[in-house]
Amino acid sequence: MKRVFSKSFFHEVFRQLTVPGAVSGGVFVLFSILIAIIRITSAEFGIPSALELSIAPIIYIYIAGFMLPIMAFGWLNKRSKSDFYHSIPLSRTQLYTSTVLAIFVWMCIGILAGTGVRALTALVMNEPFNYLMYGCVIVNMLIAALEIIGAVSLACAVTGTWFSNMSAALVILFIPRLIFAAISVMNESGTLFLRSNQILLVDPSYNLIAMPYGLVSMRVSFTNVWAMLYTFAYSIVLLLLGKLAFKRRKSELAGNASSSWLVQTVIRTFVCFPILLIPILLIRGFEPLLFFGVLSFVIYCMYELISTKSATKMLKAMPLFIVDIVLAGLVLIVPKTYDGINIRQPIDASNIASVRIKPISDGDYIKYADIKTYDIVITDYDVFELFEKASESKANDNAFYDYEIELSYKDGSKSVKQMELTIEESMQLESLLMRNKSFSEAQAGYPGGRNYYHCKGMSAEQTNMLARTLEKEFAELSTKERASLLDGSWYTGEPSITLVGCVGIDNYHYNFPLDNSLPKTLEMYLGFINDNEGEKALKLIDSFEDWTKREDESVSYTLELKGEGEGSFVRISSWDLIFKRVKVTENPVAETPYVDEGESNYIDEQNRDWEYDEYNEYYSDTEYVYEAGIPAEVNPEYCEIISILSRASLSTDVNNYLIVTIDANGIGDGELTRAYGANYTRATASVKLASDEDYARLNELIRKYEYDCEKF
Amino acid sequence: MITVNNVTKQFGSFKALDSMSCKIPKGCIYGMVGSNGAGKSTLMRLITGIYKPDGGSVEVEGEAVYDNTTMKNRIVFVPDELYFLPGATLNRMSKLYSSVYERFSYDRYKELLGVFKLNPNSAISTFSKGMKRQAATILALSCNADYILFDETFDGLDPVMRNLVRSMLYNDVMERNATAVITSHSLRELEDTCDQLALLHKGGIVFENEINDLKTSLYKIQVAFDKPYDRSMFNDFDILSFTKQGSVSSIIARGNAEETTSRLKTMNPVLLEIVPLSLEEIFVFEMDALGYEFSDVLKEEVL
Repeated sequence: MKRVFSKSFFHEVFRQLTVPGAVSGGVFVLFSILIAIIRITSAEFGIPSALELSIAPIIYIYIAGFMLPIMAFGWLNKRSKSDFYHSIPLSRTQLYTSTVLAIFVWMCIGILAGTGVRALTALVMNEPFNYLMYGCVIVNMLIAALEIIGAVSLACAVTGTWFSNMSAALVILFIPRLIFAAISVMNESGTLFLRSNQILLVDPSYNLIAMPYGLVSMRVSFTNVWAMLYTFAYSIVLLLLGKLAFKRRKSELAGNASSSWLVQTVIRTFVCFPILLIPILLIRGFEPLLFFGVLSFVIYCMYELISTKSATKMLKAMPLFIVDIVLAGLVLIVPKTYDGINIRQPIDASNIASVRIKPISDGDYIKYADIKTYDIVITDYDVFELFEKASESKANDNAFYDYEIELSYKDGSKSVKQMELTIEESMQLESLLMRNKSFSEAQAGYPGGRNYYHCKGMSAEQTNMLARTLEKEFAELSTKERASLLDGSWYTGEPSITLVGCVGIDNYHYNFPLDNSLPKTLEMYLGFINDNEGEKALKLIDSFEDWTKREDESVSYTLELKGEGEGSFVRISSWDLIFKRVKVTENPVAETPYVDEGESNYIDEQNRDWEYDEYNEYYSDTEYVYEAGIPAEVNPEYCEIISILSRASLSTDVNNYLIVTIDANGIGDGELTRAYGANYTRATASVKLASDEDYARLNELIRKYEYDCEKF
Repeated sequence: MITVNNVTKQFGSFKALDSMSCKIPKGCIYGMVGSNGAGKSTLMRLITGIYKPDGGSVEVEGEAVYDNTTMKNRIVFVPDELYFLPGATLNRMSKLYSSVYERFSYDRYKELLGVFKLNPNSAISTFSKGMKRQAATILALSCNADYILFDETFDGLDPVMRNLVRSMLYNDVMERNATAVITSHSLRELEDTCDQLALLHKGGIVFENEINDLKTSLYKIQVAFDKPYDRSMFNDFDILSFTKQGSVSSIIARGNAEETTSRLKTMNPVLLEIVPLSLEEIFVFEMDALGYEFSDVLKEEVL
């Protein structure tokens, strides 16, 4: 161990990296806190996805992963420093391994501090959070850090200036994956590499750092053990190559572009290569090839000139640009050669004993049932045949669904594959699976992982009580009702209760609509909204006339009705009634305003039926003040709706309720002001109308103005 | 013992050392002198294991130095272009040295700090050129290395400090039987310091000898006779140079001075005087004898 690693030199490098290590780590920690606060204070409720959680660490890894190795190995770029470090009694292996380890420890500290703070914030703030999945993200980040250290260290070992260090590091990190991506994009079926999950080395989702982001849509494999092992192994290969290059490196290389003519040629060739691929990859056309070819050549020459500081060397290197052209040509030709070849391994249904199936979602969530059904062993031969058929067909870029399947063969062996099914195949699979009792029962199971509930407008205690009631009520439903409720859980309206949760590394998300299929939960919900804001809502209904007479520069009064009732009453998913009055004031800014009548942006399409006139004044100095409007007479029918509501009383009758939400908004007190929501108030109540006649009349009025009502 | 055997080192198309060989005995102070590009610094970097020879071998006590940590622990090198960590103080640098040199002694470090009177807590970047070299000397000597290599040893030091560094080197050589290899552009400085001296030119050693031998092996004789004579009269002597002005001749001769004097006395000269030569003069004549033009090899700056 002593021969390859020096503890004292490790401490020395660690000490030298204190400032950049601590500063970059500290910034990452602050960034993580900021992100956590933004997330917690945002209106969005849900478990942060692995991709979302990885953004901050990835940024840190890119920054620190380049900065720390280049600073730690910075002495390689100056002759006097290089001579000093090579004169001290340490072998080159000791210098390399001790430095690499010191960098890695600093990055581990940074990653663990930043991610630890993020997780701690989630814990303290009781934020919905999948800690196990985050653990996977952290492990991925540590491996990714190792990869980037490996690449940059290798770059530092074969080059001798900061410029060439950076260029070589970028080439090592991104060019191999970029070439695979380019070949795949050129392959019409798109199967060659991008969809070839069976070919480990070229699976783009297997390399967190060097994925060709943005070129193609793809998943990020944070939880795939093979992907982690691949990236780890790749990192080790880079580190070992770095060690080899470092051991062979001459001290006198410091200040020179690269260790040899060959290395310089390789770096120069690939530094400009991506530019040559732009028309192929992004534009997908050949017309701009000349422009990008010339640009690539300019960068090719500039790199040689800047790195070697020699015009003669640049002139000598020019003819070798042909290598770039030949490589680009290969990227065009090779995929065409393989186009149409099915590279997936076909499945033989007759050899399969059983299969386990797990859908893979491109989104943040999958269904709880899908997580649970992965454990169910399917022995249906029809399913095997479906997979056999799917594996024989050529993959294409049309819509498809991804499944991870574990095949158990009759000889006792197993294999895990990723299958792509078309929509038709996917639907056929679902119907086949539903024949399995365990599978169909699992589809109706209540999410049983770590659950977090959210209900808009409710306190934590109220939400908790609603959740407990919901769980009990759900258990009393029939299998069919449960499955139906879970299937309709993507409902986004209100009243509803949101459930997010996680099982292992998987997250799920449900939004249960609260209607009289869950009477106890709904009754409790209605009771809570009345407890919270019922009286206030009734007062706001009573104060409608006052609002119409206010002298504010602009006034709005929005009424939203939702409810359900017996007989012919309508269920209103969303219906707004807006009265808006805007006072005309002097223009304080410019002398000659121009008028742009009927600015449609200000008139919500949904409210166009109301008598509503407005125009906006624009001023020559580009600042405009929206404040003009001719007050419409208050629609008498509008007043009648309010009148009906003012006679209503608070109610929690789940069979006949109306949820009323009022947003009353007044701006200013006569003085010109641009503040918005200066006098804002909102309240919700569940009410019961005073009489059947009121129901009938309200129904009639709403039907007249409704735009989104449906018969209940 | 440092053995440099037929070493070649090339940087691109420039051959810094061309089949150079020399032996540096243990316990001596070995000086190297030569003009810029002669190969002094390259040879030092080969001895300290910074460079790997392209051909030949460099061995210290029979072991190759390159990537040999055991041997490098016994060698310390103060280069011509000094390096200190950015913003570092002497104390900070001492931590670095102590972390890598097993024999680094803080007692010696403190003692040397007292001798050179440098503030160990001041940033080295604020030091003058001479103070930086003193700092590097303190750190190097604190390593208690068996082989101490100084490139451009006295560069930037005032005469007082030169003497101080010199005496410190003497101490190490005397007390610990250390070996010092030093380079300089100045022959005069090396003359007072070294036991052995080598003159390098175009990547090879032109001339190498012990200082004492050099100083005693060549001498100038001023002699006159009351009869006509010419150089043939001295054919039995080992003469490097003979010039005659009037009846007085100046002879640069090699060999035992006393014996030469006795033999000349038997020739009844009217004037006989032995004048010691300076090291430069010795170098001029020795190199002339070897067929080199001294001014080409050492040029003005060396003198």
